[in-house]
Amino acid sequence: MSDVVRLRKDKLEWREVEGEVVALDGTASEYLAVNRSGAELWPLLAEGATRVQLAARLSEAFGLDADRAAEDVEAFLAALDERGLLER
Amino acid sequence: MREVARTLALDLVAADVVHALREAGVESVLLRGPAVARLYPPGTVRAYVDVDLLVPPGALGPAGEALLALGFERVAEDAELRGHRPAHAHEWLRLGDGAAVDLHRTLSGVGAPPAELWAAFARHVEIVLLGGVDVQLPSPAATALGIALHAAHHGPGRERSLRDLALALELVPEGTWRAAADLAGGLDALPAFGAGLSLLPAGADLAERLSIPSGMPVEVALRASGAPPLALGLDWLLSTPGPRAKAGLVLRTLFPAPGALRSWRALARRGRSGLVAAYASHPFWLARHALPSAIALFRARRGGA
Repeated sequence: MSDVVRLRKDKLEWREVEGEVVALDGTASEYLAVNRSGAELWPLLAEGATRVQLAARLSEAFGLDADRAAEDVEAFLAALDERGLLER
Repeated sequence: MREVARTLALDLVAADVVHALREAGVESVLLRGPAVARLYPPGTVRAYVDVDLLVPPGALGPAGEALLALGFERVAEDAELRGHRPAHAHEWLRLGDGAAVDLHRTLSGVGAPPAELWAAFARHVEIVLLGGVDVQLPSPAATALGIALHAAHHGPGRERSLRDLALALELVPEGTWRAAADLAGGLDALPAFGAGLSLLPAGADLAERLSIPSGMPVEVALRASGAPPLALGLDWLLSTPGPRAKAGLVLRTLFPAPGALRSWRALARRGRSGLVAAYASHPFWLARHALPSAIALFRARRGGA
């Protein structure tokens, strides 16, 4: 659980706009709109962060309890992984 | 949101091109685009429409080969622009996705030889990761200089250039502007630097504090005043030596090669139908701009632009 998770760097560009993140995955030629909770995690993921750090950020930003934050982080990471956006 | 999408796509194009150039042994500095976007506050998007890369003057050939391999085409070949004012950059377009890349051998308003400009810009670069590729951006002083020169190049009619300038005037420390002025002095670019700054009141004040002289060459005066496009052509015609060369230039302006027309008018870049429409409207375009251009040139030559 202490492994660092990081967004892929290759052919992935993103911008934060009005609290949301818009990203372009150049490999799949796909645009992604990331909602506010995902946008909260995105900069951390760009730098690399552990699941614990990600959940703590969600808890702090949205007042979630630890279990709910951890579940949301897992779901978000699974969605990113499915799209091949995480570094392997 | 469309602007964000386009900006992201251009970032990836820039990363691809920089990587391809590097594979071809050509170093480059990414002008404007992300370099200027760094000035903007987080959460705002500074949109850009093309990728501007400064390359060493002797590297335009291999750089062009690398762009051809990526599916780009030259907007105008050298032969199509023969006799006209030399361009600051080679323009490349990719029809598939509409991506546009300008390979700069120099910058508008710089009087020093391209090799000196390259040496000055390449000496102090900052590396950023763009689309997984290490990309060289100009130093803050070179970025500030580039913003002022770009504003001078487009004059008061280009909102985006003025917005960049306004933001830079607000956020860039005066010490950096002073370094930019030193850089401009070394590159024989002070007149255009001052002309660009003076497009905004805060910039005019800064130019005065930096003791930048107000005189400027006719080309700089025409660009900075937003003169009609034909004014620069008329100025070039007047400075072209000999009646034979002048007559050739007039003919090539009246009956331009396709590439020349594409480099002058956006309409001509919109595929075959756009080019046909540009040719059909060319006499009217010339007629419409002739008198205002002549007046603008007269004023600039008198020093009143």
